[in-house]
Amino acid sequence: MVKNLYLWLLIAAVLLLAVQFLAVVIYVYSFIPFSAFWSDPFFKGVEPSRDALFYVVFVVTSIVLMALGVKWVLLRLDNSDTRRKFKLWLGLESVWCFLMVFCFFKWTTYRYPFWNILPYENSTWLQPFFCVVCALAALSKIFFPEIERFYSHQKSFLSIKAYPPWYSMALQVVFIVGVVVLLYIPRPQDVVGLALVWDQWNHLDALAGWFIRHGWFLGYEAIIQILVILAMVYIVGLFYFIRVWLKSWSLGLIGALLTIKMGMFYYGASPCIWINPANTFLSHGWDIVLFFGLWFVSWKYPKNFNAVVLLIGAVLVVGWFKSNGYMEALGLDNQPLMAPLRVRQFFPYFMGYFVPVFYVFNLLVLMGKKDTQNALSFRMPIIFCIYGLMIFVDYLEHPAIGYYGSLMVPAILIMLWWLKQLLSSSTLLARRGIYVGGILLVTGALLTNRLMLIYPNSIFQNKDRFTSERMTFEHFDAIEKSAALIRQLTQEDQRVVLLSNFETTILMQAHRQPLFRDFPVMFSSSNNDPGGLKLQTKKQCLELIDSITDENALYVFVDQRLLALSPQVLGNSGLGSVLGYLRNHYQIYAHQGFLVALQRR
Amino acid sequence: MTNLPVFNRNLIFLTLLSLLWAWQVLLAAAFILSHYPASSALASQVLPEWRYLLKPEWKTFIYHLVLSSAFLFQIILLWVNRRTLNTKDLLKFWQVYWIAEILLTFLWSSAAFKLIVYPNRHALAENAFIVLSIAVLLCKLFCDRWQDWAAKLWVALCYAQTAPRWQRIFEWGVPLGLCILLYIPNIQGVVARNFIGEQFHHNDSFIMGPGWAYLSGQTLDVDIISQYGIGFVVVISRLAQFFGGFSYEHVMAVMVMGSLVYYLAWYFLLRQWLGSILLVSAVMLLGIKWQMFHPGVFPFVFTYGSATPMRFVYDVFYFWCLWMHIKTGKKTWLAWAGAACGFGMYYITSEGLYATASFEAYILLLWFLPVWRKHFRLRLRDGFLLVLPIVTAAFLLFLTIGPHIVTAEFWNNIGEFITYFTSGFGLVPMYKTLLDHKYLESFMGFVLPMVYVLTLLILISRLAFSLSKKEEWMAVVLCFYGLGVYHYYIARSTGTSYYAVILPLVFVLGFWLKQVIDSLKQEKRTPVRLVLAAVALWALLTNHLFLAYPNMLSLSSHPLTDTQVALPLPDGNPYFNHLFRNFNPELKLSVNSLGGTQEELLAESDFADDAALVQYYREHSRFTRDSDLIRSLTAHSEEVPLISSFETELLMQSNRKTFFYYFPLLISRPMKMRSFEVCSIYTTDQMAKTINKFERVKPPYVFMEKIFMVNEVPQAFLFNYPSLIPLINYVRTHYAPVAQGEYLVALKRMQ
Repeated sequence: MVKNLYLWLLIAAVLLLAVQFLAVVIYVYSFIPFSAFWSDPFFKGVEPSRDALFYVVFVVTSIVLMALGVKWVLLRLDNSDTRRKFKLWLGLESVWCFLMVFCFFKWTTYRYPFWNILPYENSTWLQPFFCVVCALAALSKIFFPEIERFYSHQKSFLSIKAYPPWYSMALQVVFIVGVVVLLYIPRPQDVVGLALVWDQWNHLDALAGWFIRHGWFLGYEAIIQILVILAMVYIVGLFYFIRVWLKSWSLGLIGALLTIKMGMFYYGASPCIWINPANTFLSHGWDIVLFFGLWFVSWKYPKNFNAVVLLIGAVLVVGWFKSNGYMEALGLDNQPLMAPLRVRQFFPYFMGYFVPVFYVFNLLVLMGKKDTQNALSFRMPIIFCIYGLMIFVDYLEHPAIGYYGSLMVPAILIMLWWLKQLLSSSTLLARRGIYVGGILLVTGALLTNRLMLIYPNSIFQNKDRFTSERMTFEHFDAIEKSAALIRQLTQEDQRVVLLSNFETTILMQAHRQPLFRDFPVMFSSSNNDPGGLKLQTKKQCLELIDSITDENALYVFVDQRLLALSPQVLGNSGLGSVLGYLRNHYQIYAHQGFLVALQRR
Repeated sequence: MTNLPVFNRNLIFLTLLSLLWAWQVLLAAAFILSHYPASSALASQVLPEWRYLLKPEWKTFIYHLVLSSAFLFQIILLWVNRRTLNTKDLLKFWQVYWIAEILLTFLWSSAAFKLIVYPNRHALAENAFIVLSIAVLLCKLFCDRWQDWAAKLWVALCYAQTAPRWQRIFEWGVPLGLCILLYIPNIQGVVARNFIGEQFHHNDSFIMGPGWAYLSGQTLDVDIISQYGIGFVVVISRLAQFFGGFSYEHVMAVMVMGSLVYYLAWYFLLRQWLGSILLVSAVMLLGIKWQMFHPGVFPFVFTYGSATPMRFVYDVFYFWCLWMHIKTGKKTWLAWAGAACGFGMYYITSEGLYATASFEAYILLLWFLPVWRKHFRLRLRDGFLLVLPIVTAAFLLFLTIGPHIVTAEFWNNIGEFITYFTSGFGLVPMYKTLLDHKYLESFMGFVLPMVYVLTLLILISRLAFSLSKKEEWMAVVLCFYGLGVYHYYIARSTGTSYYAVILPLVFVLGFWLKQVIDSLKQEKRTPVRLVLAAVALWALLTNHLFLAYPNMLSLSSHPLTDTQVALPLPDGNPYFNHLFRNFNPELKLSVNSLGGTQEELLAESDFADDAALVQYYREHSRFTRDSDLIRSLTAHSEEVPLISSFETELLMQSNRKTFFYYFPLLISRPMKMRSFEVCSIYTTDQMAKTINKFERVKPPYVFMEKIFMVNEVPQAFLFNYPSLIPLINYVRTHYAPVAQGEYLVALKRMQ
């Protein structure tokens, strides 16, 4: 008796095979040039296409395969063993089909980039990848009996209740090595060159300035390496946190890989995340310590948990005010939340709403379910939801496309927690199967990400990719004379008043600390214009002037292009006020490079 | 869901209700606060050079408000219902209210969505938002009555379902509703809008040009190109003649009425096939929404005659015949279906071919599947049915073009555009929408044929094993036909153009919905159908293109010019004269054909109402002096070489035939513009063919716009008008001016 189920199985197989066949046909045809049928057109933009042919190929293939399937396969599905094997075969074919369609999607997006800001990427890996997938698809059909045997072996392996301890050791070693290989940058000067060309280190300076203020005159390369190491530490820490919290190596692996993917390789972070480190999970990287701490308190001192959480919450709010975070909440550098919708970016728009709704939904459900029996186990997820809602304010203020990804760590933790809850009653095999599937999927998504493929780690680095940027950086010697002037006129332990383009770089070379608390106070420009004042409020500006007065600095170093700006250009700007103060209290003493040294009158 | 413990089920219900209310707080707060500009404490603090960054908003406040309200609502709900959290009563008592809240919140959110997405025409969405705000409040006020009202409504529905009087009302009410939805009272107004909106560009090449040539005695695809086919020109132009004369207004009326009749005929056919009035209503509304009101036919479907149901109007007859054959098994119906396909090939070649392919697939499948071969008693001699469409098409062609049917010239001409398409002319790749970030459109473009293929594979297999009823053959043929007509999108994959040929898919979806509904319990079927019909109606009524449709239900008394409903372009610019509004001013000539500089590129807001628009059209579409000039220098039987915008209208007013095979020759632009027009000669072969005819026939007079007599044009014109400039040069080399009209100059051939 032919059952409807068999028919569905057969139809699924037919469609999967037809799509694979179509993919191969399109690929082969891409090498065959079009023949000209008619005389030259007057109008440009006439692009021959074979869509109609491919359409017919797909329809005819489906129908022919179905006819063959009905004739040769359908009746055999009556046998339960055949049916079981057929389902496995279908699963395998789905994987090939997915990979082939995935290649075409990537091809399209590489050929016509959605974001025209990635001149570095190339799609050369796709062609061999597609050929390998096709070859594997063909081989899997030929050697299916062997694959079936291998699958049975893997099933029994996954069903083992407990693995020997060296398995988990090996897994940890592989994971840590993998993270290092993926994130470590052997030639940081590539990124530094890129940052110079891209935004004249303006974003990186926020961190470099902190080091200089504290007397550590590190180069940009060293700063990049520090960031990379911090990211590795964070990811490994997160892996172990998930392991101790959810008691699953696999969930730890999924969480860590997902965090790398979402927090470092989204389009807002192009071309390389380290140009603007504030856009990574490192901007809230201290939270890994918090997670471990809270987990420890909930485990060791459960009665004090609420008090600790309240204390931490208060500290965070105070810290937020101290760090000027409230200025953005008051509307400075604000972007409307519906901005992505107006430019038809439905997915980022949807995520902008979905993430907080997800947290709130979880909170409300956990509120209702909480009782004396389960109160302890719900504490951590509740804290993650609240923490997630707190840091998501950052996205609400800057709904840049994909930026929510770097704020997703709490959401990832909650999702993993739910996954564990949902699978708690399933069999060991099913649970492990789903975990393995998740790991493969996340790893695949990470390794084929366009930004990951140009990330200059030891796998994907290409010595030619950032050549011009690297050359620009290596020949960036315009500031040498200016730095020499500062060294000449100031003592090593003296704090320097400097208002200039590339002030961080100059102080790095001059080995001097800045005077200003809000250092760097200027933003740099690669053109001939002198940059501008980074400070945004009158209060900050007054503090800057006050600090010069208090220090009673003998010399002040100013970019000579700033002094050349006319009062009309400066108007009543903050920069105008600072320069006005300097003109009133200082006189020109010397100039070298592009700096002018002003001496106190 | 039913496997969940009662407590968890109640908890999820209360949580969703809290979220729903919190979402309503969000909508209300965002709407109210949008009327009060946010201020920032930083305003006096920020330095002048950074002031542009200061954009205070209410969103952080709203964010906190919504979070707090969600918690508050949840606490209140948990507290109030603490005694019933473990009982089934909670969900039972509140479920109808809950559903009402979900529906209202959905409608409210959709109004907010439209407010955001269409900020430059927000008035309608804003009104809807306010009305829905009141409805949301009322919903809460009567929260304990919903259960009772739902029960009463259900009783009334059950009564209406069984009472013959109500059945009759529904039976005829739906077609009447369709007529009210689609009928356009102000035909002249929409023609006036086409005149000023896009200068009749699309309909001139689709029907008006070939229609006029056919009625003037010229042979289609011999004397004049007819890109889509032959039969539709004959049918539409003869019908227009029957209704009072071949004019833009009468052709528009034929297209509107033809579409109306087409939808009504499908309604009655679907009633036979799918049964339920509610389901058929849902299918028809969805079909109308997708086919007639999609962005590809902006601003109005009848602006593009080839995208209206007139393109495949005959297919309803074909499917009626097929249905009758499936029901009765009589082969006469099969013969009629074959004849309908033949008529289709004659009518519009491509669509007819697809219908014929589906018909032949049907016959062959019946033949190859033994069960059905026996059931329908097919014999070898029935093979004649396979050739019947071709014979019918040939016969009708012969009646129309006579002995030309056996000439190479005719078949070469027929093949010309087909060859262009097969070699890439005017094609757009299928991944174009993907590149434009239109993911949903792209997804739909790829998925729609998959639905056909999937349906075909399932149904043919089921039919082969006798697992299906014979009525499923209808869906099989629809799928074959749908796959065929989908070539329209495959060839020109622009935006949502798949909607133009979506109807077979909508009917197939209707078939699947029927299967799903039939598998439900009896008491659940009517509510599901009701929901489907309501969703389809909502989708249609909230569609901006439908709101701008000038039918009897229009929200404005002058829908063509009222900016409340009349659609501007997506970038906010007016639709009127949109093709030429952005013409580079530096490339314009110093004067127009009248010797003046004013171009009169009017917009919607320049007209007080639709009557003023019609008045403008009447005044500016009468080319009396120019048509008098043409008549005075040419005989009625002569073919007139006319190189001008609105050449079809000019020739109709002069009562003369066209000289050019590629007619309309120019893509019209407003007559007073200081620029040239794009010529519809696309290749060097076509140019040679046109010049050869000049050399062969040597027409004594050529008429063209005075502006073409200008001696110096910007260099860019050589690039922008690559085929027009050589043509004008040819005319000016061989002809000399002898007389003038208002816009035209007459040139006489030099010896």
